Amino acid sequence: MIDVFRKAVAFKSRLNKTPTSIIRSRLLNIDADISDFFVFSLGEYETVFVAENNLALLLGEHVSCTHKFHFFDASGVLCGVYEVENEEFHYRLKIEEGMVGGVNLGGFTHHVSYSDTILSQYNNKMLGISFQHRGYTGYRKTGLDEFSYVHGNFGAMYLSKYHGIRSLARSRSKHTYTPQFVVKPGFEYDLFFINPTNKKMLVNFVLIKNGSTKTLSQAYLNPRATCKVQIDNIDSESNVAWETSLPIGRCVVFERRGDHFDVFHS
Amino acid sequence: MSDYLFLANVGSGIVNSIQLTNFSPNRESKSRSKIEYKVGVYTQTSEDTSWKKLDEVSFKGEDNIFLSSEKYDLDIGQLAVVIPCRVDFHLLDGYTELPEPISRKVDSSPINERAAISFSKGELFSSYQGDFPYQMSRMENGTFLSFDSLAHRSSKDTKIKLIFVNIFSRKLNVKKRFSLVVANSLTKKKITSVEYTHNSAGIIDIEIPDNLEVCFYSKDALGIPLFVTWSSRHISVEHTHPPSEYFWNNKFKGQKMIKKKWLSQLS
Repeated sequence: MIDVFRKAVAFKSRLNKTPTSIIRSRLLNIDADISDFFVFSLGEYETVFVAENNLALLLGEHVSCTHKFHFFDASGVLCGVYEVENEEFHYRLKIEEGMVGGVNLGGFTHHVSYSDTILSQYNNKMLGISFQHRGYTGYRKTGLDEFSYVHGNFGAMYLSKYHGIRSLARSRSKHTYTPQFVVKPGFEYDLFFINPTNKKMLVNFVLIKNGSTKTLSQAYLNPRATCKVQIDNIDSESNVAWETSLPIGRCVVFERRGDHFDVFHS
Repeated sequence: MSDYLFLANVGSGIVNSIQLTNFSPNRESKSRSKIEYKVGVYTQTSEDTSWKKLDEVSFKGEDNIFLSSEKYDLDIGQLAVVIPCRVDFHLLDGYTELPEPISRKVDSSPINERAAISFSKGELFSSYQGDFPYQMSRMENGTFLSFDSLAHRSSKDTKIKLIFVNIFSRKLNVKKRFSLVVANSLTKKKITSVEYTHNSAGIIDIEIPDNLEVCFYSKDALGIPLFVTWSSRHISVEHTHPPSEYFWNNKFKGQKMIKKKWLSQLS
């Protein structure tokens, strides 16, 4: 009896640290094209995405592919699909308002498909492997020269033949994520959270200063939704943390002061 | 799994700094929030095979530690390795093999134990959350392959550096010189290269024509590639993913295939 209890506790502990569906990603070993879930921000900002052509990179030569982008608005509703053919190792997409139904904030996925001719030609090289798309998202304040980039972090989104974009990401027990940086007086911060799971997600955001914590905001995110938490008017250097039901609840951070603009993932 | 952190002198007037907190980076909410530790800072010159202590830094009642490459007299390409360790751990003045960093986890929540690693030039600065995994520092043999996803310039004013950080924590008997190469991704022909050693940062100023696809590789050792892009008004830093991240199933089979294909063709 004690053994059964111990095994149940060990299983629960293992489950709580696993960000994706154990059944679909471990047991069934899903053979799908997997994408991280990325953030776009338009209007005050411009967003570009560096997409990888994985088969071309695997083969070391150009191979024609179709890059497919699915865009979701801030409430998680599909607001645009964009496809482009390209054969290079990387394709650089500038996200335009027309691609995303005119909204300024949301999330997106990137998937790649190849023609049947190409797939049959290289089938033996792809046995047992499936591709993942992490990519690099670049942001800049409109009018600045250069972009600041972040790589993809998490999402595990796949394209279902009958159900559109689905996710292997799962909600688990409450986790608190504390990035290794401080927010500073004189700076403004935008923190973008996205919900890759199929369930609603609560983000509880706190400021930590001099040993005490203060809840700054809370947000409920629908599946595929994006929210922005803004921090300004900080009077002294402070740490920040947030609680979500994701085993790894990262976000994308914009840091601004005058013309200074930096982006990093937490 | 635990992690080292690092500071480097990357030249061009760019200062590298790191910031660490005493909060666990990721935990179940019911677990404790803080960890007690201090850091040791060690370096190795381009000729030496042993580590020399530069510093030992504690939190001293604060929640954050800041370290800057400016504080240490590093040559260009020289690394200072930052080792998180127990508060009561006696750090020696020198080592032939680096101590293992402690884990900063408080439970089994998945996360790499990172720091904010920043690069600044004058008033401009940019950071990413980074680390150098201990397991990676133990690998005797390794190779490196990366692509030009982050080597993009939007104006003529833009400059780009690849900083390739290698940490080898085991004992070194001799310090060999290795090559870090830039090559044309289509023809696989070498464009330029620089030398680096174990426990240093190989640094390449990337000057390639627009629209030329390039790759970066070393057949001698593994490491973490950072791309720093800057102009008079802006600086940005990010690292590229290893090739294993192009694959969902069988990541390491995929990485082996991609490296075998490319490295066999790159001269």
